[in-house]
Amino acid sequence: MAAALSAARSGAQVCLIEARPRLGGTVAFSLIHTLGGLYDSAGVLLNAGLAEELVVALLQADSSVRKRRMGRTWVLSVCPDIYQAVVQGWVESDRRVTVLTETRVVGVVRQSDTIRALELSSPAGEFRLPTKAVIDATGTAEVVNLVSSSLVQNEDRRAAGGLIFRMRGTPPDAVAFPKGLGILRAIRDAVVEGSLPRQCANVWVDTGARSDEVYIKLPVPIPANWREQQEPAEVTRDALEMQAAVVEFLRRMPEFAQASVSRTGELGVRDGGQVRGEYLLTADDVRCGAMFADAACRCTWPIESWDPEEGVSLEYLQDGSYYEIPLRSLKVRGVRNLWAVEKCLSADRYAQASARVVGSCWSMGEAVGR
Amino acid sequence: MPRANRARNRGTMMTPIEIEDRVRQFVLATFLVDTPPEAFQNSDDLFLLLDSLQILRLVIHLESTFGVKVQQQELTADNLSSVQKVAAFMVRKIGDRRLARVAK
Ligand SMILES: Cc1cc2nc3c(=O)[nH]c(=O)nc-3n(C[C@H](O)[C@H](O)[C@H](O)COP(=O)(O)OP(=O)(O)OC[C@H]3O[C@@H](n4cnc5c(N)ncnc54)[C@H](O)[C@@H]3O)c2cc1C
Repeated sequence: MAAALSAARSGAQVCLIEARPRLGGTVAFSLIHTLGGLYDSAGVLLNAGLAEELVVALLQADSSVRKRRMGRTWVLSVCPDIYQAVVQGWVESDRRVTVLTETRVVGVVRQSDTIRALELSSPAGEFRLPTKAVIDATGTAEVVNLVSSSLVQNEDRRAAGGLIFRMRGTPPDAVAFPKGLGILRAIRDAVVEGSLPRQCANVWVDTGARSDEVYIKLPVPIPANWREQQEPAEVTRDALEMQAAVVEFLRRMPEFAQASVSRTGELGVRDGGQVRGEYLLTADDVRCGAMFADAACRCTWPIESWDPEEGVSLEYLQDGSYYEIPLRSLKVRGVRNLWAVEKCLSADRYAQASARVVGSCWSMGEAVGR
Repeated sequence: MPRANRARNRGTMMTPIEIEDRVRQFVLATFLVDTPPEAFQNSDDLFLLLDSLQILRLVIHLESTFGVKVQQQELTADNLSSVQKVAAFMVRKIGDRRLARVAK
């Protein structure tokens, strides 16, 4: 979306192709409710441009949207439905962007080092879209993978994915920090006692944008062959079983006695394959605050590793420091007019675990679109 | 481990200053490895320096080190937001545990 808006502002005729019926991606459909990567360690906006415009638009859209401190970081707390409505309205209001929803990129027409057209599939049928440049913002490098699977780094060990669901009807601030730690601890104790399955040990509980809602994040192991047809359904089924166990457990706690599940997100994949770009952003770049002449944007989010067994761990940058993402790590190697932004940038798994948050994603998209 | 040592380790025989020092050492060695010790005060706000996972790990560590059980309603800023507050909280909890033993 950021790439589309930015390319349109630069005068390009843009076609935004979206497989789902609506825009909003992982944030809207997997229920991300704390937008990270927008602010530095002092709570000051890290990147101007579309990221800043996004913050302003969200704050204006609803009084429940607020900036809040989360541990050592700052996030924008927002209901995913509000995010969806705001970004959809924003993109649709730009007349230079044609939005094709329920349309999937299923093939690419390549002539030596250049992509000439995309093959699209929609309810109306299959068709070809000639193109001068392609920006893959699918989160899982779907388009780059169609060009050549060798252009996607496919690691065997992936970060845990996430199934997030929302419960409403809890008393105000039922899980607000630090009280909410008691709920996490009760879940962990239940795992040790055997009354909850082992995978529940790393469940995460967080307040929502509204005072009577709670978001629950279930870490879900993503198998190496997750791209294959049957896997997503199987992975989701296991995650839904875990969800049922957690809900039953929580409803025995006084804070959740009146609560019910108001929405369950789609399974979110954190690292579905980073591309092989002209530059590989590394953990060292993140740790030492690397700067680049072709910087696309600044990032300061910790390296947020979601180990399928151990749960989440955070490695922070020094307070006040940041690193930059170079444009070369958004340029796919060997293809003249192909870029990959956001979660599938060219980075090792640790650097991606820092760079993949929403704020950086918007700024990466904007830089490439420009 | 000799009995007296075990008791000492679980906080029963420790002075408030020793308890504060134990908490400080744990926080520095576990969460603030890059912070020079002289730059960290026992009154510094842990809720600004640590994230919620780290506070949870601190609570679990307190329970095993001092042999106490922290109740849900005790998970408050007043009890946990600085090394000084954590130490004072542990002193109270250990005192309560001793009283409970005497009452038995
Ligand atoms: C479980 C989980 C938890 C997260 N938690 C946070 C958090 O708390 N805070 C935070 O800031 N960030 C979080 N993130 C990261 C955040 O979701 C991403 O930064 C953000 O969604 C941007 O990702 P993206 O644009 O790369 O991909 P997406 O948002 O996934 O967008 C990709 C879009 O491409 C579409 N698409 C895919 N394939 C095709 C195709 N072949 N043809 C056409 N369209 C296609 C999809 O339908 C989708 O709409 C989390 C991610 C996950 C998975």
